[in-house]
Amino acid sequence: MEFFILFVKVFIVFNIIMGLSSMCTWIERKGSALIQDRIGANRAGSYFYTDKLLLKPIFFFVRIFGILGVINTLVCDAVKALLKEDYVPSGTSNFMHCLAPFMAVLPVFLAFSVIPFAPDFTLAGYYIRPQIATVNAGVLFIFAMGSVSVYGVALAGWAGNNKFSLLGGLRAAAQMISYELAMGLTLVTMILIYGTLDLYEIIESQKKYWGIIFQFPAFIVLFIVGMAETKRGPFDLPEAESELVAGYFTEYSGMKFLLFWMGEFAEIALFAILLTILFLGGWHLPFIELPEGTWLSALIGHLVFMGKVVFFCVLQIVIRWTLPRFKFDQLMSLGWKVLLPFSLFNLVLTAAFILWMGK
Amino acid sequence: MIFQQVLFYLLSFLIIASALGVVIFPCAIKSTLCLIVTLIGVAAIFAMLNAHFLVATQVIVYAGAIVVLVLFVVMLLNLKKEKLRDLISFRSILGVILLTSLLLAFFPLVIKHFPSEEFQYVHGNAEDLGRLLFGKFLFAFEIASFLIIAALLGAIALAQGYKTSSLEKREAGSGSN
Repeated sequence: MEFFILFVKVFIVFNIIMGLSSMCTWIERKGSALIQDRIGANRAGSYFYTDKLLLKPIFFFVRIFGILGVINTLVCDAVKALLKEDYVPSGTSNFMHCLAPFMAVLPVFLAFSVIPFAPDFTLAGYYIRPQIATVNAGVLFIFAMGSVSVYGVALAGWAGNNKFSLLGGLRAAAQMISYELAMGLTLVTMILIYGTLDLYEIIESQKKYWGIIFQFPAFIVLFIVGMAETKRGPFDLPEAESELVAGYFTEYSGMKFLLFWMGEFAEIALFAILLTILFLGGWHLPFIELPEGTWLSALIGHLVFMGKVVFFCVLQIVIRWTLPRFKFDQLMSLGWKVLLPFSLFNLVLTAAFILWMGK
Repeated sequence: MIFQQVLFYLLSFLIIASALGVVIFPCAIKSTLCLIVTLIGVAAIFAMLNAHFLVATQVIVYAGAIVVLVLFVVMLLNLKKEKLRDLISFRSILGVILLTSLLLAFFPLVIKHFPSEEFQYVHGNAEDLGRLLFGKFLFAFEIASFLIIAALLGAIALAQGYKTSSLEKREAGSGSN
């Protein structure tokens, strides 16, 4: 039975990842069209008509999804990527070329295994915690997986056997290393405040006051660093299409190309989840006490949690389509001269304050 | 329990094989990847001992920071494939002798302690580790960090000195011409 519960948890979490990343894909396509005053994907499925009365409601919804561009972005693009030729450039190791997309995706997916998605509940006598692995250093585990995901990108840049992709890979590695420092210091600040590394306890200790009230500067820093770590928004230098064709995945096609995108969108969702857990109190609502213990309360908590996550995902995508790209020296000076000293100062100040208050 | 032992032996095999791969592969990128596998394998062994904090630290510090820099440098330098040197030389024989003597010295200790209950729980939580580092081993910890800072400054000084001296030489050479 324990094994069955674990299997169900893994299944649900995998579906959450897939759902969030496909939702981000759709918002990226259709939302960017909205921002740039275009129409966007609206063809596939929007001309489905039938004479059979029973099938009419189904076709009605298909048409709506088609006009909204859901079918085009999620179904047609996925099928297209599956059927495309899998091209491996000459002069490179085939094994490395195949390994890189997996190394870009795997750490991000692994990081989801320590995230509590809803409050605890009891169902049919079983006490269930909606978290695959109960790790007592959850924050650090997510941080570790984020730092390992550099390899996929760097390796992809190298395996492309192409100057543009190598430049993209090097840029990505440099960018992620530089911003990891500020991210680590900010996470340490938050750990100092909550006094625990466990993600579940962090959420539970924000029952009354959210972390954003205590540490608004840390929230801003972590948000900027998150945008930089996902290599998006104004920080998309590794894949700057006007300079480097497509950056580190220039030489990738078909499903491997799609894997990189899936990893990127999953990373967006991961950062949204991290911000929600650390600063927005997870499944807690302000001024409203939710009931505890039953499956219904867990479901409500999960919906609240996901609402906050979706909010941050949309915010990141809107910023990505609004702001122009940084130059590389601006990126580096922002990371090393602004964010790193600021988060260090914030850490020392917070530590001194906690020491002064006497816990 | 049997499952854990099987997992342990598989992991040890993976660690040793990849550690050998670091030395054997002629391609620098491949040996760097083998190094990553070794470090993550050690992290997995920590995970089997329920030392979650150590796992995270191992992955963040070694796999996430240090080897990324190594990979960065290897990719920047664009190294060619190294030719395998002669297997039998003075150096390799010396290395084999040193390694076997070290292993033989540790062997009785390992045999004595290996299947014991002591290793079921290690102090790998943040709190235990912090108490050890800032209490019992404070002096050693500070000495180690002092040494690392000295090494860092030494590296910077060496690199800077080399650069300026080569520049001076070049300037001197151009002056004489």
